[in-house]
Parts: sequence; C-alpha cells; structure tokens
Amino acid sequence: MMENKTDMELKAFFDAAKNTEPLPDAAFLQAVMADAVLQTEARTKATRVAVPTPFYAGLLRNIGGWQPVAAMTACTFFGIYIGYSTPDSLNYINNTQQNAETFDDGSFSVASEIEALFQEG
Amino acid sequence: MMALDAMNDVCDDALMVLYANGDQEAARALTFRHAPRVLALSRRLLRDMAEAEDVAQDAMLRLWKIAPEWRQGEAKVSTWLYRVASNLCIDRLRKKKGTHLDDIPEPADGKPSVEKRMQSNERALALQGALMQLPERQRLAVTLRHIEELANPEIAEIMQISVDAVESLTARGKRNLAGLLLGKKEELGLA
Repeated sequence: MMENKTDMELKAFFDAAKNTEPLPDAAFLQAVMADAVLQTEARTKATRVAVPTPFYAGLLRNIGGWQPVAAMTACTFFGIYIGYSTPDSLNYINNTQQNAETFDDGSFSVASEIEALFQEG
Repeated sequence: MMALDAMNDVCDDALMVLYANGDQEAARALTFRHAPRVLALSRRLLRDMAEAEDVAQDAMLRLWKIAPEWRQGEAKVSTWLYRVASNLCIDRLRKKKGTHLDDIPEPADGKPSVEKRMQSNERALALQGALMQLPERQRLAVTLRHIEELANPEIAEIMQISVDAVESLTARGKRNLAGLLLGKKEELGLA
C-alpha cells in the first residue's frame, strides 16, 4: 500500500525523465558505426596475417612437394626392410650366382677346346 | 546489401551473425536499435553527455569485438549491452567519487515554471539530481526498472544478482528518492 503510494508520487518524475530523453546526435552514431567498420577490417586483417604456416611447409616446398617426400620415405622403408629381412632370400641370390658361374666355366672350356682344334689345324 | 528497413524484422542474434560475417548494414541496424538506449542509460548514470557517449561507444565497440564469438540464445544483446555499459559507468563513478556529487546542479529554486515543458524538464532534472545521490546499485536498479522499463528478471541478469535483490534495491531506491523529491513537490508543480 505504502509502496504503491510512493510509486504514484514518483511516477510524474519518472514520466518526465522518459519524456526528456535526448536523441543521440548523428556524430555519435557515425562514430559507433565507424568502430564497427574498423573492427571488421581489423578482424579480416588479423585472419589473413594469423593463418599459421606449419614449420615443415618451407622444407616441403624446397624439396619439391609431397611426391619426392613420399618416394624418399618409400625408399627408406625398403632399405630398412632389406636390412632386417631373413637371410633366406640372400641364399637364393647366392645359389643363382653359383649356377651362373658353373655355366660360365663350362662354356669357357668348350671355347678353349675349339680354339685348340683351330691351332692344330 | 540489405536496406536498414529490411533489417527491422531481423532479430539481434541474426544481426550479430551477419555483422560477424562482415555485413555493415547489420552493424548499422544494431547501432540504431541499441546505441540510443545504451547512451540514455549511461547519461542517467553519469549525468554527463560526453562521458555517456564515451561509455556507450565503448560498450558498442565491445559488442563488435565479441560478435564472432556471440553465442545465440544465451543472452539478449540489449541485456549484454546494458550490463557492459552499467559496469563501465560504475567504474567511472568510483574513480571520481566525492567530486561528482558536488557538481550536480539543483533544479531551479523557487521559480515554478509556467510552461509544461519547462516543468517536465525541471522534474527530470530534479529526479536526475536525486538519482545521483543514491548508492550506485540502487540508482542502476531504479533507472532500469522505472525509466528503461525493464522487467525484474532482465535487471537481475544485467546486475548479476537475484530477482529478490533487484526488488529490494528498487524498493529502497524509491524510498530514498521519495525522501529526496517529495519535499519539492510544490515547487515542481506536483502539490
């Protein structure tokens, strides 16, 4: 009840305050909108500048891109594979080599016999 | 580019997204929608138009800055702006406490105005003077409730207090205002 009476008595003051609200001047509104433009520009600039280039980007570019890097990586892994693989495959290579030598020996001896026959006339 | 009129029906959250994407028409619409009210609140709290403009511009600048991270549906743009502006005003008032109240001009003394407009101005001036004598939070609560006509839950959000605390602040504020103003009823043409 008391509260309502106070409200009623103060209402004229509050109404007067609402009615005398000054309009913002154009310069103020322009300044606010200019801030908005500047903020957008700053944000765009920051986005452009702040795009982080990874540390390996320059190296990758100097090497010639991802293809050479992929080839080098493949070669490295193949080398490691050869290093660690079981010696069975090496034995196979050795056997092949021995057979080839045997064949060579035989063919060499036939040639020398022919040469001897020629010399004898 | 959309015209300002076309932005009238666009909600604040959508305008924030548009502005964050670089649309200056959205910024324009937000400015026209909110800056005058933020300025009015700041002027009431600070009672200095130049300072009020600084505060309102600062509050709007903070809005532009936060636009890309604005989370839709979490807070109303107006509530957020009122909160920022009122905090900025309270900071300024605290910095110059003790000097400002002495500068408040009293309403014209003993000269009841004939014209209504003059009378209204005098009442507004008297209210402003009385508001400046209230503690900061009472002043803010009364201004938001009775001049800006915000609902108590929104004021609670702005002031980051409970609705009960808002009611208590406004009630005490009004009692203090009544004590300061109602003795001058006659000279302000209210008797």
